[in-house]
Formats: sequence, C-alpha cells, structure tokens
Amino acid sequence: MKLHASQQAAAPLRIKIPALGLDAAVESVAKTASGHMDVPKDVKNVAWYNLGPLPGVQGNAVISGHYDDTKGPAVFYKLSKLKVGDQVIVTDADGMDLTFVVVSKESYPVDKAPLNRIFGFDLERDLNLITCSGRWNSKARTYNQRLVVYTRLVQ
Amino acid sequence: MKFIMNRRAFLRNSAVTAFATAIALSPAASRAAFAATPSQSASQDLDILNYALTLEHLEATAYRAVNASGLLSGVVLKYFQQIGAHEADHVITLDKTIRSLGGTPVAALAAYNFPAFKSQAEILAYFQPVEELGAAAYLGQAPRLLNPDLLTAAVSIHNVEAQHAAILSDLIGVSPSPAFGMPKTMEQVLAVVTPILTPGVPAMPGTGMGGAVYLRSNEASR
Repeated sequence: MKLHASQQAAAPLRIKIPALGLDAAVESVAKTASGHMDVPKDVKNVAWYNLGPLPGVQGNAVISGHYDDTKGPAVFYKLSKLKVGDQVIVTDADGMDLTFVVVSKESYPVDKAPLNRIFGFDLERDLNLITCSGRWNSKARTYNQRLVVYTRLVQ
Repeated sequence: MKFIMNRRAFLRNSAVTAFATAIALSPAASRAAFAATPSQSASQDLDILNYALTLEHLEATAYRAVNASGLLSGVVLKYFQQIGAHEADHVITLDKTIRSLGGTPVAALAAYNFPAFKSQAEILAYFQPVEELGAAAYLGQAPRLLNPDLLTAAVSIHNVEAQHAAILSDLIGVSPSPAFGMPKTMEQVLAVVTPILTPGVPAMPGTGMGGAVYLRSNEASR
C-alpha cells in the first residue's frame, strides 16, 4: 500500500530548480507584524511559510524568494523563465526529495493577488513559488506585482 | 445498522471508558493527581495530554461542522455522526483527566481553518488523512508517557482513531489497514495541523529591493 504523502513530509531544507540552475537553502518564516508573509533573511535563500502546509502534504505550501536586493539580482530573479513542466525539487529534513512540476504562472497586482488560491487549503499537494515582478515603485520601495509559479507534486 | 451499533458499543468500551476508568481507579494516577507539586514526569504527561486534547478539539469541531453541513448522506453520514460522537467523548475525557491530574486543559479555538467543502467526496478525502494523523499522533506519544495507566488509555484511543481511519479508507476505496501503524512525532503532527489551527492567510511578501531595476533598463535598451 502506498504511503499517504502526509505521512512522509518533513520541513524543507533545500530547493533545486534545474531549469534555472538554482540550488538554495530554505529558511522557515511566518508572518510579519503587518500580516505579510515574511521573507528570507539571506537573499541567496528562499523561505517556506511555516504557518501553511509542508511541501508534499495536502494543500498549498508556499515558498518565497527575493527577486533582487539593493545591489542586483537575488535567488528568484529568473523565476519568470520557468515553463510548464519544469521541475522543482524540494529536499526535506528526512533527506527525501519531493518533485513538483510547474503547472502555471501568473503575475498579480500586489494588492489584488488571490490569497486564498495561493495560501488557502486545497485537496492537491501544491507548492507555490512567489517573487516580485512588475514595476519598481521607488516611493513605496516595492515592486507593484507579484509573480506566482504554481507547481504540483508528482513524486 | 447492527454493525454500526455493535461497533459503537465496542469503541466506547475500548476507548473512552477504558481511559476514564484507568485514570480514575489507578493508584499511579491517584498519586499523580494528589501530588502537591507536579513532578517532571507528571508535567510531561500533562503536556502530552494537552497536545492530544488540541487534536481532539480540532477533530470534534470538524465533525460537528460537516455533520451539520447537509453534504453527507446514507452510511457516510451515520459513520460521521458516530465518529463525531467519539471525538466529542475523547475531548470530555481528556479534559477531565487533565483536570484530575492538576493540569489546565487547553480550550477549543474560536475558529479553525477548515476548507469550504462542496461535496461528500471532498469531505471523505479530507478526513481520511486526518484520522490517520490522529492515530499516528497517539502512537508517536505512547512511548513518551511515563504514567503506565495513561499509556494504556492512550493506546485505547489510538486504537479507535485507527479504526476511524480504516472506516474512512474503506469508504474512499483504499486499503483500510497497513501491516504496521506508523508513529508521528509531535513536531511532525503540528507541522501538518498548523494550517488548520491558523485561520487567515497572509498578505503577499515583499520580495524585492529594487537593485535589479538598472539591469532591466539595460536589457530593454539593447
């Protein structure tokens, strides 16, 4: 009998995206005081939202990464280059590799993103990758859009 | 539904009654209950009981919600009503046990982050792993319980949770039982249930600092 995926997942430690040549450590973050998903402390790392599901269990797990820092590109700078079918491999604390594939990608105005679709519960085992996109607003010191790459567990 | 009634009687006898009786009558539990200062072992046991109560509150609330949803029917509804009653019994018994041992039982949350179910099939798909998780949680804590009477009682609830999982597995057409139950640690279980215990989704993260803007300008001008 095949084990249920919820019996196998552990906290994510690394993420690899072969199509982008990306191999990064995964930090664990929650919410900021203002209610936003927090971000990795190191711009070379990504961050798993630890108030949501683990990658590999039922629901929408979320990993964010910086598009850039104050000097140049950061870990998810090339995230928009991902295509449907590209692999995202998460290695968890048990040493297990979970392979997800890209199913779609969307950019949203930062205040109009479908938060329930991105963070809320669903019956699939999804992993959603988030970074900045759109135009830099130097006054607000943020980009005006967020790119979400939706991926689904395949093994 | 003779089978259901017999099963109900069996489950009640094997879990809740055993738990309550074991705790109420055992000399070890009495010693723990009336100790002036809870020992380290009693404290560890109380932490585990409150952890179990947290999960039972979640389950009991979930069953109450779906049993009142109007989405369930037939034998599924009957099983869910029975299982919901078991979970409610587990809550009452754990609450009483924690109080009898000098602890403070955790309360149910005001709200849980359950999905908005649209069908019986969705409900079954959601609850089957929840019951597996419940069984695995008790199995994971059994070796950590220091009061042997609590151990017996916890295993009796584990047994019931595993039977719930078997029933739901059968209802969704998967094998009702593996050869061996798999324990899960507290950390593993909380990682799975934290999203349910944390209502509300966050706003989008701030994942940019503007340093790549000049690169994009250069790329655009080429």
